[in-house]
This record gives sequence, structure tokens and C-alpha cells, in this order.
Amino acid sequence: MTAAHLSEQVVKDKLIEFIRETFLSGDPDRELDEGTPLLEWGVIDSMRIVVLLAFIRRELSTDIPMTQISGANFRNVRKIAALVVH
Amino acid sequence: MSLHQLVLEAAARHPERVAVSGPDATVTYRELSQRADALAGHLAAQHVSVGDRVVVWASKSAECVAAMQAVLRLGAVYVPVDGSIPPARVAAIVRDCLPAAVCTDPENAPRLAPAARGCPQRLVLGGDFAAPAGPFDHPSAAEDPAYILYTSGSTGRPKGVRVTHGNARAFVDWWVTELAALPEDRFANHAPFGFDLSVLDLYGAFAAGASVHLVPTELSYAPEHLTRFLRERGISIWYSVPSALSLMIREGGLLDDHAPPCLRAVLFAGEPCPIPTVRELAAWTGARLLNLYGPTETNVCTFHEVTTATLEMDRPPPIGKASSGNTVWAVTDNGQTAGVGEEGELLVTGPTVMPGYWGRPPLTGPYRTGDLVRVLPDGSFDYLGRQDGLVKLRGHRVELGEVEATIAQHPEVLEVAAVVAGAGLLRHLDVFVATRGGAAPGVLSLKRHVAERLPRYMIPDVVHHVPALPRTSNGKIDRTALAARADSATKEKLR
Repeated sequence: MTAAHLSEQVVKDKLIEFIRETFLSGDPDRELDEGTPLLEWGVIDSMRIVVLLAFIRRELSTDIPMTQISGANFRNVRKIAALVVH
Repeated sequence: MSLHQLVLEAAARHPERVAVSGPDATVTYRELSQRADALAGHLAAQHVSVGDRVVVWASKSAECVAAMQAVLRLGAVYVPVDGSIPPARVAAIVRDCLPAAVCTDPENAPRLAPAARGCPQRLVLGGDFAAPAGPFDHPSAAEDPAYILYTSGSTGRPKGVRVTHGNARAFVDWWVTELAALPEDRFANHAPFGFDLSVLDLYGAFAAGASVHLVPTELSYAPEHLTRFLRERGISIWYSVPSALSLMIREGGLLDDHAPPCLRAVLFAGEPCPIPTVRELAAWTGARLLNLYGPTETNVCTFHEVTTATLEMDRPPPIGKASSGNTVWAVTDNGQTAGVGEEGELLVTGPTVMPGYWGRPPLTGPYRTGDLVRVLPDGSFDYLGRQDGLVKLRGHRVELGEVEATIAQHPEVLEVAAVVAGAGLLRHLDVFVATRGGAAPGVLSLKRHVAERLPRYMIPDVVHHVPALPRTSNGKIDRTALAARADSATKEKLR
């Protein structure tokens, strides 16, 4: 299955779940949403992007080309999901 | 001779050579010099004058480099602040150094008002400015300040390290000679401009009439990108924190292909480089491998060149012997100069040592680094660690006290302790937070709280909520216990 078969909402949910578990100690207060500024608030940084890319490759079967890795494209879950689906 | 002479001379000698290749543009020395004059003319029209400070708050670009040169050409002092630094932190820097103008990039322009509060002159870079009335070339003296680099301060107030033209030139000129840099060289610039490693990349290239290639900050830990950057740009002199090199080796496939023949020096600084990484690099490339040491306050003051003997050691390479014309020695607990085999605090004096922090009393006598070292039989030094709460996270200086002071401002926080655990790439900053008993602030809201006030590398990686902080028998926070807990929590997760 490739990401083309996944709806954008499913991708967002998977990304949020992964980010919560991996970078936010499970996010017990459910604070993370699709608009949370990930880079600006230090949820992900240039090192953790690598971990996130590996997850996207493995679980969402999508290889994000290096030219697409920018601060703007990784601003929040909504942006990343758009990158994965399109 | 003033620092900005380097670009002026290179522009006169070979105007058509590439000076800077950034994410925005690749510019020749002629173009860089003309752009610097255009920006200088614009700043002069805004009444920026000799001795004034100008904050340059921007992502790395050729334009940003031109702005720094423009400030120097007016005899003014630039204050480089990476574009990722939050407006509240920029505002704290503005309050401290009272600049005549704040420059920023178009991306940060909407946030310029809160960042530059109190400073009426503001400039968004990248615009079309009228042809300059220049050329501008203020003859700054060796003792005049050239730039101010802000570092973490233990009290929660950022500290500005004042670097003079003489300091910077002594450092750059010494290293250009040591590296025998040539116009054909291609320097990589990995560090942000507010981090002193970038000084060698930029001005080393300018002194040689060579080119410098800027790695955008958001890609500075994207391993495949870095590896490709090194190869595709034909980098001959690479300088970064060891973490970046480790990452390129582990995740970026750096060693999968033969080393590029043009690579002739790999420099690392900012934290101890694990010996396995040094061995891997030495097996891969014939380039010189150099471990540089020195806090921002002294520039690089010692260095060690890796030899076959270094590779047989079971610890990171020594920080070596004095460089840049400095004198370094260690002083033991009882105030004596440490002899071979003894430990002590490293002291530095010489031409690259800063005259003092901005707005604080000048430095008198040698600079005390706060770093513990051991004297080796050949008179060089091994780095042992810090004497205080300063820690390094991937080369960045972090005062734990500053992180704690910032989190303690959160209304729900009763007490907080920050610790670091893990090594190298996996080093992480954990905070332990006890709250007032009401609704505890979530992990994300604490990150946000810090993100709005401090540089990104000071945002905690992990937040632990605890009922109370553990204490030692004499009532101090038990940091050893907390560090052990942070360490085991991570190991648990990796398992």
C-alpha cells in the first residue's frame, strides 16, 4: 500500500500518534493538534526530522525527496500530511 | 587591520571569484562588495554610525553576509542572531546591546515589531536599495569591537561576548596560515552565524579569496543532505560540531563512497569528538583532522591535529596546545600552575581573547574558561569537563540555570531542575518539574513556554512531572539522582 491510498485524515492521525509517542512523552494532556507549530516549539528539530522521515518511509511508504525538506513543509502536521499525500 | 578589509581586498584582487554560495544566491566578491556598500549606504541614511550596534536577525544567506559586511564598513558592530531565535529572545538582546538598527529577513519581517521593541530603525533585507554613495571603508582600529556573539547566561539574561577587529583577525589570520588556505578552497559553513565556529568559515574563506558554502540551519542535521552537500559542493575545508559528522557517518552514508579527493581538512569543535568517529574519518580520508577548542570568549585557543598515536587512544582526542598566538595553562585547586599529570582549570591570555562582555566591566587578567583539563606529558591538554552548570548540547552552550529560570517563570511551576544525559548525538536535555498542585502544564505547553523565550537548542527534550524534586542530605537538589533517572528513562525507551 502506498500513501496515495491513505486519506489525508488517516495520515494526519498516524503522524499525530507517532509524534505524541516519540517526542512528547505520550502527550498525556492531548495538546498536540494538526496546527501545532512543530519546529517553532521544539517538538521536532533538524535531528528529529530524520526520525520522522524514517517513520514516514516505513509506515506510510512515502519517500520525501530531500528538496522538499524545508522549515515551511514541516511547520505542522497539516503541512507534513499534505507532503505525504501529494 | 580591520576585519572587513578581507572582502575589500579579495574583491580588488579577484572580483569574479565566488565569495558566498547561500540558499538565496551565489555571489562573487564584486557582487558581495557592491551589495555590502548598498546596504551600508542605506544604514548610514538611517544614522547608523561608528561604534553603533546593529542586530542582524536572519536565516543564513548571502544577503545576510552582505549585511554583516555593511555594518563593519560603517565602523559599527554587528550582532548576528539566527532567524530561528524567537522574538522575545531577540528583544532581550536588543535591550542588552541597545542597537541603532535591527535588520531581518522577509520571513521574520512580520515579527520584527515585538523583536525590535525600543529600536526605531528597522530594515528588511533583500529589498531594492538605491545605489550607494560609498564605497564605505571605516578604518576601525584593532581594539574596536567588530561583532557581539550572545551566549547563554546562568542568570537568565543573555551575555554578549564582545569581539574586536584585532581578536578576529589574530584568529582568522593564524588559521588561514595553518591551513595554507588558497583561492581554490571551498569552505563549508555548518554553524549558525551567531555561533563562533562560523567566523572561521566566513573570514577564513575571505582571507584566502576562497568561497564559503552555507548549510541552511534547518538542514544542519539532515544527514543525507549534509553528505550530498559536502560532495556536490566539492568542499575542501569542513568545520562543524562532531555530532554533525557522526550523523553523516551513521545516517548519511558518508563513508559509503570514497572520500572526495578535494577534501583536505576536517575540523571539529564545540564538544569532545568520540574516538570511534575520529578513527572512521581517518580510515576514510587522508584529509587533515583537527580538533579545535576554545569558548566564544577566547575564539579557538588550542588545537590538536589527529595522528596515528591519537587513533590508538581510548578517549576523545586531546584539545592540544595553544593556537592563534595565545598562552594557555592550567591552575590547580590550590592556585598553583598544574604540572604534567595534574588537573586544573584552563586559563587563556593572548590576542584572540575578548576584552569583556558587552555592558559589563572589562576583563582583567587571563580568561578563566571554567573547563577542567589534565596536563599531558608533551605539555598539551586533555579536556575533562566543566566546573559549573554549563553543558554542551551538540556544541551549543546551555546554562542549565537559564533553562530552569525560564521554566520557573511559568505560573504553575513550583520548582524545576534541568539535567542532561546521554552522549553525542543522543544527548538530551531533561527537565523535572514539580507543580503547585493545580493543573500541571502539559509537555507541549512547557516546550512552548521555553520556545517563546530561548533559542531552540535550549528547549527541553523530555519533561518529567514529579511530586517534588529529590534532595541530598544537605538540602541541595540531587542532580546525580535526576541525571540517572533521565538516563534510565531513555534507555528504557530505546530498548
